[in-house]
Amino acid sequence: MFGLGGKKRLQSWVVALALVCLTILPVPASAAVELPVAPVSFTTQQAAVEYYLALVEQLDVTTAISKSVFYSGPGNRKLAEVYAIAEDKTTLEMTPGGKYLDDLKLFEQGSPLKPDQATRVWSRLSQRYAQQAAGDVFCFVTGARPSGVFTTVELPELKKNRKVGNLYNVSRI
Amino acid sequence: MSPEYEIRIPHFYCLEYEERGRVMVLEIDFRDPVLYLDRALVTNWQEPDHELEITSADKARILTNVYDYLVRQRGFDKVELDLS
Repeated sequence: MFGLGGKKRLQSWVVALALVCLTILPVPASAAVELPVAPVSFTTQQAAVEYYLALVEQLDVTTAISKSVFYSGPGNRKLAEVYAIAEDKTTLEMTPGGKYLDDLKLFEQGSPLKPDQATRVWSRLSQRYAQQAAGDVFCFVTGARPSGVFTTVELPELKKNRKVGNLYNVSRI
Repeated sequence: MSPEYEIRIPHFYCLEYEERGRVMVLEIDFRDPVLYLDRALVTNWQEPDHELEITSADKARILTNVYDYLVRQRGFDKVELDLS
């Protein structure tokens, strides 16, 4: 139907289309960087902690300039999520790395980590999320507790971060 | 005897509480070093039970069950329960 020349042209189009797809399709967090392979079980609790702390360093939590959204305190996560979706911004769990770590369900029954260890892992990812923020940052933190991760981990990092411009408490606008 | 409720932690930012087939999501941020359980967390059941009234006794029972699960069954050591 295509003849010899037609077949070649068709093959060229297929190759070109495949190249375009490879270029524009998002790469999953797990494929974007080479993540350490999770053992089926850990010989010690310390080995598990070390594995997940190393993993966190490799997860992609980057956002574009003025796209980072933070939240803390009752009712604020949902507000932040709705805002982020509407304004084309990103919360931690919407980043590839945040979603990847959330899918591991480290606080659920059967997790290889004890609760305080899982908190430590997540705290580090939250810190990295604040460290990578740039431009204006949007926060839903009305009612946030002084002992919460935003006040103790994320906010200090945002204040140190020279790439960050204004910090907006969106829930008060 | 098994408890009359089930609890899951599907995400780092919430806890799912199930009792007699009804499901409630409590917004608890497990990244926080201290977890505070108070009545404001107990809001409504998920569909199709979201119109059901939640009494003060319901809130106290749910919070006590969640506290028991986290502290006694799962080993969370920094949980504050406020039933006032």
